[in-house]
Amino acid sequence: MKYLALKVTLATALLAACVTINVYFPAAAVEKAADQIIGDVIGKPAATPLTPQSPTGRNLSDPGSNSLPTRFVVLTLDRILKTLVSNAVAAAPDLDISTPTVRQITDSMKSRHAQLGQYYDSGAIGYTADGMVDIRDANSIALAERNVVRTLLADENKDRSALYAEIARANGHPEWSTDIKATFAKRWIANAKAGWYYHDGSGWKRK
Amino acid sequence: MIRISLARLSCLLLVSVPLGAIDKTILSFADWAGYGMHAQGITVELLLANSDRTAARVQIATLDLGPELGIAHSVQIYCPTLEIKAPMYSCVGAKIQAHFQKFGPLALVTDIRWHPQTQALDFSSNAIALAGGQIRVQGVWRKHWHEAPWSIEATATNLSIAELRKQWGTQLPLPKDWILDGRLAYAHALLSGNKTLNQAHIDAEISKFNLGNADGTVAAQNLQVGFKIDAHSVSGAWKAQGRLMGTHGELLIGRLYWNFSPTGPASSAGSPATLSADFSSTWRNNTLVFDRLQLNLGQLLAADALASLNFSTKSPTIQLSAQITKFDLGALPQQTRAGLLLGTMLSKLDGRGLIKGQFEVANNVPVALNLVLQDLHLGDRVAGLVIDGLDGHVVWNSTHRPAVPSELSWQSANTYGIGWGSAKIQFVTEDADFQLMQGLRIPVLDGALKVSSLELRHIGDAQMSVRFDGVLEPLSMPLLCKAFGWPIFAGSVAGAIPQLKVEHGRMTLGGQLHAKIFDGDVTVGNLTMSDAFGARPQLNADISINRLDLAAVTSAFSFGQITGRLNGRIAALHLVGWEPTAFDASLFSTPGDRSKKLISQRAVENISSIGGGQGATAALERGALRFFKEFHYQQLGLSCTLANDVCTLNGVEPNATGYYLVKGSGIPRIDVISDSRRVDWRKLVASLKELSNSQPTVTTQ
Repeated sequence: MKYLALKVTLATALLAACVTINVYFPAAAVEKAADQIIGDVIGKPAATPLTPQSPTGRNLSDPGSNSLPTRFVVLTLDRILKTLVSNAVAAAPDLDISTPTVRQITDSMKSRHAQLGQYYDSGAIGYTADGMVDIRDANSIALAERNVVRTLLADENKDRSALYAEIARANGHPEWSTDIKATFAKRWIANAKAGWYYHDGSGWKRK
Repeated sequence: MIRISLARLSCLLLVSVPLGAIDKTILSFADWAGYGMHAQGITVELLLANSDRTAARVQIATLDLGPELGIAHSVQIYCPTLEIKAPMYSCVGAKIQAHFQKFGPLALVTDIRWHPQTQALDFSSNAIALAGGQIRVQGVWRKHWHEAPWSIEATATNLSIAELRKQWGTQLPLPKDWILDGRLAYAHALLSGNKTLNQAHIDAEISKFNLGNADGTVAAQNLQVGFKIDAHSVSGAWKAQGRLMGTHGELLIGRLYWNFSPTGPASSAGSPATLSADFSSTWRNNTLVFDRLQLNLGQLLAADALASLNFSTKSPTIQLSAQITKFDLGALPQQTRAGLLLGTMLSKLDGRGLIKGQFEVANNVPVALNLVLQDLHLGDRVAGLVIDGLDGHVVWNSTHRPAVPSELSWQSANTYGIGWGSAKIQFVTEDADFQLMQGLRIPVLDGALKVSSLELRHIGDAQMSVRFDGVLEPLSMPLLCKAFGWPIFAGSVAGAIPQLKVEHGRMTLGGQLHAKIFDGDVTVGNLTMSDAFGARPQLNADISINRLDLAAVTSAFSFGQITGRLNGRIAALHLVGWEPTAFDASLFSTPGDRSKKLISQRAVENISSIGGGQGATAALERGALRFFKEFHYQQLGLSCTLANDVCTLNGVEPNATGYYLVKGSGIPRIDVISDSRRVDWRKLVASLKELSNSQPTVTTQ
């Protein structure tokens, strides 16, 4: 009898875990897709992937995130979950980023990057913490070019918003749009070239 | 006897101190006022060095020089040689040090003279090093203000504006995060007053002037500006007239960019891009009123204006009434034009011609515009629009005023290669709305577009809506094909365009478009377009095709000859950025068609290619088939369902291994059979020969 509660608890936990699997945000797949798109836009190989993640998106190698016993429990649970859902995870397809709309947006951003590249290099513009671009130092842009740059940035941000929404829509989860945007935000920065600027939420930093 | 005439002397302490060979006399005053000044804590030391030279030192704790110069503390005046010779007492090379509340510390060497007869005190300084340059100051004070005013004259050369800002930055109404730099190359100021300042003549030239706000929307770079102002105060109001000239450098105010440089894009040979502004104005009660303001900007703009700017609020409130006597579109520099049009649908608009008219602003908001257009040529290579000989007048009013009719006419126009004839339109505009007053007919190619109504609301914002009703009178397809660069084929296109609406960026068509081409009919229905004014419009439509003459179709597109009739449909067509992304299409022989059905060898080869085959040519060139140039067929057809860049193919009926694209008849009978079900749409469009590797089967019986 005394094990009944434990069994029920474990069964409930496993059942709940199984339900969670069906709705988890595929962070690794989105990262991979983001790197592919970003590499295509800015013309460089994809950056080193982020640290391995569990299906729930938790960073498993972050020693500071949990105390040792807690990490042990998480790792153990993670292995159990992986075993239970391995087939489902293995069968989960990569994120679909091959829709005509994604391709058109990517082409548009790639074409625009040919104009924006020099302003990333000079530090006049940079990536923001929310997956967009913004002017960092307007006064370093020649007067005659400022309005052009502003328009390019407005168009770029419009494309980025459309891209995040379209990837979410194309993969049947419009509600992922915010998470996709957040993932892209990290990957834009990870893929940024040395010397480019990004905003980490508190201020501009030079990579 | 020394006669000292002072306006007021509240306390006098006289002390004589023998100090060796020097006889030192100290006078102390608690309070003294005169000549528009008020001094407190005064000590005067007379230093009698020898019989022919007297030195003096004056120390003043607080000296109030009036509202313009303010208060100075710790004033020290050392006069090495005090000359007391009638009719003038003077001090040559007096060293003055003071700390001004407004301007900070000041040190100068000056000659000071006192004229007892006129009771005038004047001074003239040596060159004073200031902000990397020099300034000389001279002035005169007279005791009786009503008789003759005081005056100060200053001449400065090559002062650093950044240094001046460091020293006197608190006096400038400029935020700290603004960039401010440049040289005050030359400045001459003559200020005079009667108790307070009441006249000013300022003549200055600033070079290499740089200005920039934090977000870079207001900026000047290497600007050279000269200005001259004559101002005087009358009954509490300042009246001024002057001239401002900008001759070099660049200026950016929001979207407006201007390059003044003679080598800049605004300048052409003999037409410098200078700005000149002549004005006459009055300043009273925090309001600057321009009763004359003449603006000339290169060859581009000439305007006269009346304006007022009220500075009582944080942002100035502007009232403006301008008469534009000349706005030459041809003189509008490319960079300036691009800046003004960026982000609009006509961002690459170019033009020439003259515009004149009136422009009014009330409380910072444009309220009226009345423009006369004279022989304008407008073109936008991106939007594919050209209009020539545009004349007329446009009257626009805010909602507070009654709408006044406008009229425009043009000699010719062209959109995407389609020529439009001359026409005249009458309309009213109000706020952000436009409405056609009466219908019009615009010749287009050999037909016409009859517009019965056109209404636009909320132009320029996200709520923009369009309502259009019209009829397209038949246009010859050959002319249309030529305009679009298509293969020439016969036919015509016509149709009613009823209830075309654009709301929230989505366009819908109430009726259907009909084209009579290839002796058949094409009907476009359920036409909608999302994001109609955006970068990637999305179009949806259903198209039906009825009884096209295949002989005419195949000869027009060099497909290889086929005779017979063709029906078809393209259902749920979805275009994104004018690129098909989804549809359910099928083309097939017209059911019940009894016309002769023949297909040429070349057509067989091309249809085989669509089905993914490469081997049809070889099959047709083998054996007896090579003697036949055309074959009989029962029916032909192809369907494609496009989704995610994949086209799922099918034919007219199934076969054991696939499906028939062409089902032959007679002898020799030729069938084109494909087993290719899924092909890459982009590859299919790019090249029919790069489809899947599966071979279609060409069978002969």
